[in-house]
Amino acid sequence: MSEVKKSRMKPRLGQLMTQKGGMYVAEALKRADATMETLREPSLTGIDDYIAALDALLASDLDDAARIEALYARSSDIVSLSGAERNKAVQIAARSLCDLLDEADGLTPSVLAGVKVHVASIKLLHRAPDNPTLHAPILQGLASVLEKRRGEGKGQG
Amino acid sequence: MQPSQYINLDKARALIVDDNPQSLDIIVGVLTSFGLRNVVRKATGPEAQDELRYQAFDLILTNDTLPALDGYDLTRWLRREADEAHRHTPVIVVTSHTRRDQVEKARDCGANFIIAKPVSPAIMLERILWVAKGDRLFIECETYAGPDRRWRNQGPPVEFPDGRRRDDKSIELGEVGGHNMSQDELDALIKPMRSIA
Repeated sequence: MSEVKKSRMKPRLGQLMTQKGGMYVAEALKRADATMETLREPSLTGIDDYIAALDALLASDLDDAARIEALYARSSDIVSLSGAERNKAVQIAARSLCDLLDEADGLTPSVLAGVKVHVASIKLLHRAPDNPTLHAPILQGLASVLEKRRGEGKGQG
Repeated sequence: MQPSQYINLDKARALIVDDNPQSLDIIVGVLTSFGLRNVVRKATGPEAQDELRYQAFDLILTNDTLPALDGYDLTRWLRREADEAHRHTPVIVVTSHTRRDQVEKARDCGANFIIAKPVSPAIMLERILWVAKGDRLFIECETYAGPDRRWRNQGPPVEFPDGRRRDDKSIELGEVGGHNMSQDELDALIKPMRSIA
């Protein structure tokens, strides 16, 4: 049997954080929220660029595997910046697109249609004010697309 | 995490690794707001390795997907091959990819925590407080080097009432694969039973 060595983690960070000075947690969070606000517009512009990149990938003639990988990377980038949106729906839609692509064996017509629906929904939700009532049917539609695709996948498997 | 709690990150040094510049800006911006002044930004795993060979850090935040060497391999390298004095450095994986198998990969590479993107300042600060306060065992064996993975049975420190509570239900995990988990779902993988303080 291999030897197991155990030692106690004593991060220096813990000692540093309790030193005199610093700030209250409430102040730290307030400052972080203000920083996030300054980064909002650049992040939204970043999402604009990633949406344009998704469109370009849908029209590109790359092979399926490369396109799936690139589409996944861009939807994942949208998730990263989606904290800037006023609604949570963009994040949910982009995650759903990640799931769809992650589970796709290839860009079959059915997968491609699903990707297009997701991209169209993200465009619709991007920069939209928070309105769960309005967004719920869109997200429900995306969930149905994903479920349908999973059903097809099981049928083929 | 109590609003009246005092924190001092003035002298702490952090290494942030992310190949998405805007994502890097967000993480660095949040950490700077917390008072962290010494922040080094890197875009690839090998660049981060070079930095880790050169100096010590008190905290590492890394994206999972990176060019050349991903965040999981970087963490594995840190735990196994970096200067011995740096091997216990807390590592938090910050990622958009939170499927069950990816969360397990983060756990098994030796990361302390996984944070789901988009980054929330409150979650970020709470996890930093957890790794700072945490007194987890560090395990080294043939197949693993990193924080004790059985820590789930201890849960986050009960001093942080906003984390999981004693009356939270245990979580039955779904099939391997599964969907990308939200931060709430990730937190639900930790079931507190007693304080680790």
